[in-house]
Amino acid sequence: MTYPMNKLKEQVGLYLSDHLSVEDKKQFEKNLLQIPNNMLDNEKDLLFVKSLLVFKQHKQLKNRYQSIISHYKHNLYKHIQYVWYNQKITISIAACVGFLIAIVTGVTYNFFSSMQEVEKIDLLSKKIERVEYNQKTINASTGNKNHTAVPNSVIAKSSGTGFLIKKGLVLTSLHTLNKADSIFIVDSKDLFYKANVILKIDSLDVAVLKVEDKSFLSKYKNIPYNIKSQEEMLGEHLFSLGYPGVNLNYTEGFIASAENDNNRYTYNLFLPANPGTSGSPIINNNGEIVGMISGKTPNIENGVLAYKSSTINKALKKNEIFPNQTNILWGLGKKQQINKTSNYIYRIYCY
Amino acid sequence: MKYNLDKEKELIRQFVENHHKAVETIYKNSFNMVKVLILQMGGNDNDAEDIFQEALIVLYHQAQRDHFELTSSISTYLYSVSRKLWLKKLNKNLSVSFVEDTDIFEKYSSKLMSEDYEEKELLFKKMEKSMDSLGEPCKSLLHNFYINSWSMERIVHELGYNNTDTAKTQKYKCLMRLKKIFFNEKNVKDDIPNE
Repeated sequence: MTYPMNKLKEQVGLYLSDHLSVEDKKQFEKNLLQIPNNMLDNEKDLLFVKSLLVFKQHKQLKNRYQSIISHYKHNLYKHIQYVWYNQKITISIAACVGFLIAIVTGVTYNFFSSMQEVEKIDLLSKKIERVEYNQKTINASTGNKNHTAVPNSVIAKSSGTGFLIKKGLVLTSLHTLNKADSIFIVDSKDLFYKANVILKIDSLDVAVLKVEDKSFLSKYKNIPYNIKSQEEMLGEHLFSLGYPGVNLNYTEGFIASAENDNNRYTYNLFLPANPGTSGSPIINNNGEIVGMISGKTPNIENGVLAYKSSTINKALKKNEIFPNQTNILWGLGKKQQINKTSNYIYRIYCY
Repeated sequence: MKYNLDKEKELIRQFVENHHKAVETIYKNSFNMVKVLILQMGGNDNDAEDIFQEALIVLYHQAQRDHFELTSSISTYLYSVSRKLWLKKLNKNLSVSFVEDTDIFEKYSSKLMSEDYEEKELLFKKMEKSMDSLGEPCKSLLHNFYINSWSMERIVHELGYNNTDTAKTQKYKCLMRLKKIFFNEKNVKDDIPNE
């Protein structure tokens, strides 16, 4: 790049004594500012004028900038002051109203979200429409009058699965029993036993049924499994036994996440489950019960929500129910485990 | 951010021609971006203001050059320059070097900074010192004439000269004095005592 050095040298004297025309002065300043310092080493006048110009520009820019900054700061401060002194009452009222709204919203949200959570899960209790049961058939097949009589041609409202946790006590999911007038437990030999609810825990979807039938008590007393009081780990392989229909159904899967996002008392399982398996036990490879199926997670294929046995255990103990502690399934093959367990898993019919 | 390049170029033109509104518009559009940047990188409000001022000066110098062409929005430009300036300041103060800045960003932002920015900064500091050591009435005469852009008539009126000719003569004399001081002064860079 070439610079018009000679011209600048000629003009610098005129510039300093203010004898340049306005146009020439502008051009002179513009040209001078673009010349690097090292080219002006021997031109003291030019270097001086350049410094003067730079000084002028910097200083002007800085002054302008500072005035803008102080203007904005001042204005902001004044504005805040103004707003505060004139709108004190309005602001206070607005704050109070905001506070109230926040509380009301919080409360209603909590209320409704807890309602929605139940709806989110496809409850697995099977709605039975028109299941007609003939008392004669059952009486004929058992030939035992001690068994609880079932009314002729009644329609079961819903069905689920339950399992024995202690002599005469059956654990099942609470939503299965929803609005039931009477509840019957059906064992693998199609025998019906009348049952009463003795405990409901809403937060865990747990209900405990009591069967007082003597033949039931004498038949089912050596429970082979225990209910695990520790939490199970992510990835643990599990299986489940339940009654989606009239026959016992086996499925297996694993723990997909150790905690559901919305409910810390539940596992997310990867396990195929059908309606009617609500209340089915989840069993690990040692034959320990680690959870109870409650519902399906609708957006996840084969996603099942199961309440943790550790939590259920605690809740039961609080209510002075102490589930079976001995486990005789340890180390057995899966078929044997299923065989021994199946007698203690029942259909629950609600009328 | 959406921007209109033609509008930005017009703004730059006004900025170089010292329109008062231009600085304000640029400040309004870009300052918050720079402020957030400086606050994120361990500075405070005052640092942000200083850095933004320096960045404005860099932009001003750059925009004066014949071959200057704006390729991004002014905000982006000022952001990049501010970042570079701030990192430079940090490196100077803390002797910590930021590894990330040595690669692509460095190349980009060094292109943005005019190469003679530091030269000009040096001249400015030297001139500022010279001006400070210049006594009255020269100081206020030159200051008002150059920085505040007063007309000769106003200078005559406000500073109490007989007529414009005496004021002009006085101004010339003052300039010569300033020049003497300017060249007798040691370079500001050499001010650090070397023992």
